[in-house]
Amino acid sequence: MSTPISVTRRDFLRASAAAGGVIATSSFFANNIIRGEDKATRVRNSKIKSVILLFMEGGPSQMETFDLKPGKETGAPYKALDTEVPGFKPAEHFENIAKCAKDLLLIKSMSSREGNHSRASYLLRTGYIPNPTLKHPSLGSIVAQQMGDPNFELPNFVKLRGSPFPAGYLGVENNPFVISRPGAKIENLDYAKGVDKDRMDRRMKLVKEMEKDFAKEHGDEAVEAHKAMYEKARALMDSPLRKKFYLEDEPDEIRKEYGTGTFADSLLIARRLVETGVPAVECVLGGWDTHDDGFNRCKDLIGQLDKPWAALINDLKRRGLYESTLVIWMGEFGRTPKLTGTDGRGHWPGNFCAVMGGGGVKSGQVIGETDELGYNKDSKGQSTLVDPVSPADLYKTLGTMMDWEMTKEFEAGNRPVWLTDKNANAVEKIYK
Amino acid sequence: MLRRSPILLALAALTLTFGVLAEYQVHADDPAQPNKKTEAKGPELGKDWGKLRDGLNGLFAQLQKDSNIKPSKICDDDTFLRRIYLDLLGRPPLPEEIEDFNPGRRDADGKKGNEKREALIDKLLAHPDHATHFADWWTTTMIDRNGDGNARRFLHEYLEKSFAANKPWNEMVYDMVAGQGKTPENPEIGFLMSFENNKADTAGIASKVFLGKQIQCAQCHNHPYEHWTTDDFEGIQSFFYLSGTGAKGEGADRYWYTNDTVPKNAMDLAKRVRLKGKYSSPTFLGDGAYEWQEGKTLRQALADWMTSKDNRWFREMTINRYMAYFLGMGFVTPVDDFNSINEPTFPVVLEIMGKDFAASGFDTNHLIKAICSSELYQREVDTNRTNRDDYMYYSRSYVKRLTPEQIRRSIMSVIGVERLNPYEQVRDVDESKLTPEEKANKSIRDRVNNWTYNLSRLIRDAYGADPQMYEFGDFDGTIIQALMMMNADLLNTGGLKNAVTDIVERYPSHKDRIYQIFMTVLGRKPSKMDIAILNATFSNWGGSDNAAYEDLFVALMNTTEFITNH
Repeated sequence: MSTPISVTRRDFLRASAAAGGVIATSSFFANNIIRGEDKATRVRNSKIKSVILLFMEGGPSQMETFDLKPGKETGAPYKALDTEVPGFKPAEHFENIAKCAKDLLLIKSMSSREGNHSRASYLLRTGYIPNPTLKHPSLGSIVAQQMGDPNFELPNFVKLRGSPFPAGYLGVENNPFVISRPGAKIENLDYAKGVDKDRMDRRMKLVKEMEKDFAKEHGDEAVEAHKAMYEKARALMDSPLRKKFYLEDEPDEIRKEYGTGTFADSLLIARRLVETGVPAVECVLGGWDTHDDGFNRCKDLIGQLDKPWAALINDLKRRGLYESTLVIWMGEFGRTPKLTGTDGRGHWPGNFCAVMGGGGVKSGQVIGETDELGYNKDSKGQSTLVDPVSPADLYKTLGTMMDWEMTKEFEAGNRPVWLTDKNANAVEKIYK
Repeated sequence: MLRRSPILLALAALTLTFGVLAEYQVHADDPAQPNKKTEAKGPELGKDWGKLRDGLNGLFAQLQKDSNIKPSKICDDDTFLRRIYLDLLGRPPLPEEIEDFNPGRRDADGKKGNEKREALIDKLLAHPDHATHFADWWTTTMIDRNGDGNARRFLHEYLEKSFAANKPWNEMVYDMVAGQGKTPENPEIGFLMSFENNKADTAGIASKVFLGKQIQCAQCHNHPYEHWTTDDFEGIQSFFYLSGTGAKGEGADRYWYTNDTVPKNAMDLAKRVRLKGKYSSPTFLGDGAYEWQEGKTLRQALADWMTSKDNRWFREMTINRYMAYFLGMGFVTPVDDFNSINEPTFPVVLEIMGKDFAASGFDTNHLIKAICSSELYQREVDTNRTNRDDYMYYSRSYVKRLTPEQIRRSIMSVIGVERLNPYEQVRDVDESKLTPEEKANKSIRDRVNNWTYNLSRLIRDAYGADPQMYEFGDFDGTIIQALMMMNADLLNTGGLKNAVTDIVERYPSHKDRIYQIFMTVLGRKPSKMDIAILNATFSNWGGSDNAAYEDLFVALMNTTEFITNH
């Protein structure tokens, strides 16, 4: 698929020539043109080549992870570990991550107003509040579109678990390639039962033959686009790089370092993909909606997270990839400082944590602070949150770090849109 | 805008046909004016879909002539047949349906030409698959492919019933926006349920889908280039403040309900409808504030205004959506984004069609019959030198990519697992109490349901949830879609009959088998060229065993022809 929009672009040129540029339909094609052209020549001014997003679905509790209040009435019965970085005191179950403190940056003051799972997930994945009449692309799609090579054999955005969040106005070519069971056989990537390469070749050869007549009678645009996508899919099926989706050839000691479990497998696959040149990977770990039994459940979740995350950092460093790979840990919101009667916590968007590391990050520091009980307001309702960072600000920061085209007007339908919110501010403390 | 001469011509031609120029020369030059009260009084309007069809034919023939465009030919019966089946039923015709229509010859009732095609349109509008397909289409349009499964189920059920009865569109929209009650008696509340009490989303979607007004971005800031302000958005949103949905009961007893508070008087209204501590006046978009009326819910007031014959946006949005759906391109693109910098290509035609639609009693079948029997719909895709660049005058048909819903229905119909493996209702008792026949029957049902469920899941995974991705011109699918079409093992039906095994079993001769496979998958006979290619291919393959027929079947399902309407 050299250029997925070539079809409509040609049509547009014809259409505008015929209609003197006045027709309303042209906006659709114009949109596609803007989508596809003029990026080839642009050189990004950033060392960051890839992003790995670790997305914690359900709203990970800051009170049980990175903003503990030990000994206070709101606190978890966890110890907070001391690290080399003042203020970076993760829960005791983060024994591996605690050793990586110097390679990480903690934001304790993420803050939004969205306390509903789907709305907040949209906000944290896109930097925009949801709007049913406009679909914003998620982080991975933006990275794929801004930083990916359209001719790469592997998809530019791979998502390990989670739903196929569409790329919206950036177009289907930047949709995530979702692997729902990381490490297991990917559905439909292999030939069906009883079909081998030869048999698929003969089917596809027949398709090609049959298409000739159709193309002649109905114009070749649809056929060309169809063919391009099939070629890309076949190339992926037969590509030697597809083994990067699986872990069979990964040495035992590395597998041991990441540990076991689906999330560990996801992170190891993420490293393999990034190493191969995939610019955007999202790894999803669900189960953080801890309304009840939060202490046990968070301990268990951290158990799935701590070892592979630290292994990923160390592995990337050893391979010299940590400087060009940005690793982000976050969820859609935090949880109430006040405990429920069942050791759980409610939804709490007012303050929550995000952790960044790797490419471009000024690591070894902590941004933001909540009060001694974990609240962000005083008794009069005045905000006491130090250095609040909104999701829009975070995306503006990411865009700045990766040098996305943030001033360019993209179009969704007839509407101008920007990759990041124009009114947001990059948080300069975060990056080098 | 009247300054463009083709538009004047458009006005002249269409109004000549209707003979009602004097009454309809209003406001066409003023598209920004919302809701001018332009009563549709024309004696001719709305009565006869044939007149609307003739008007469209005459008008666009004139426009094409004036632009030196020679239109493409009217398509042959085979092309028309598949096109109309996909558009109205969401699937290609089955071999026996093709034989009934008897392409190129008289049909079973001795009809031919236009008369025969019009009879087919009537037949399909009355077909149960039509209501199902239109319910698929509209459910996705309104609440996309994600969301609460129960809300979708009820909304789909309501739409299916309503389309089957050809319920007037204004009544349907009224039911969905204002509907009250509980499930299962009032499935229309599925629309409101789907927003999970998010008033901003409810207002944004209702306004976009039914009126073509995208006010959602005014939720946070004034609209970038329309005169809508945050107040306008809140004005519409306020109509939903005093209503909500909820659920009660568990398991089989679970039901969903709406509740609306009816303000007792104007004071009560002002007291109750509050946003950020202040009265937020329910206000019709650009058309004044709501004045309290006794016994009316706010949603009823909004629905009255939205679906009124005087609401130009409502009728024109509907016209545009149906034009875009059937012709690949409406007068306004994107289809539901009417705004001042996105003018319709032919505002006067849109206006007159809108009035005709309102006068017909918002009869969507009236509109569909006029569009589908017109030359605009029945052109070939093949172009000539003069109309290759036509994206305005409907002098040619466009290749339309099938929607995920159409692809799902097409795969279901073509592979035919449901059709070829009928089963009886299974008694709702413990497995051990079933007779051996009942057990066998249940096993068929379970395997058919598994297959259908698996297909739905594959389609959802491959196509995602967003209906906006599939507008006209978007030919490029995704890798995941291509992988699904190539590799999903859909022909492996767990011992059930599928179309390939059925054809091989029923037709002993090679020629008949090929013919049937073409008719089943593509809804047409193989051409001479196809047969030449296949002869060479089959001899190359070294024979025609079952695997070869399966390969042909799968190959045809992977053609552009299969996943497009043309």
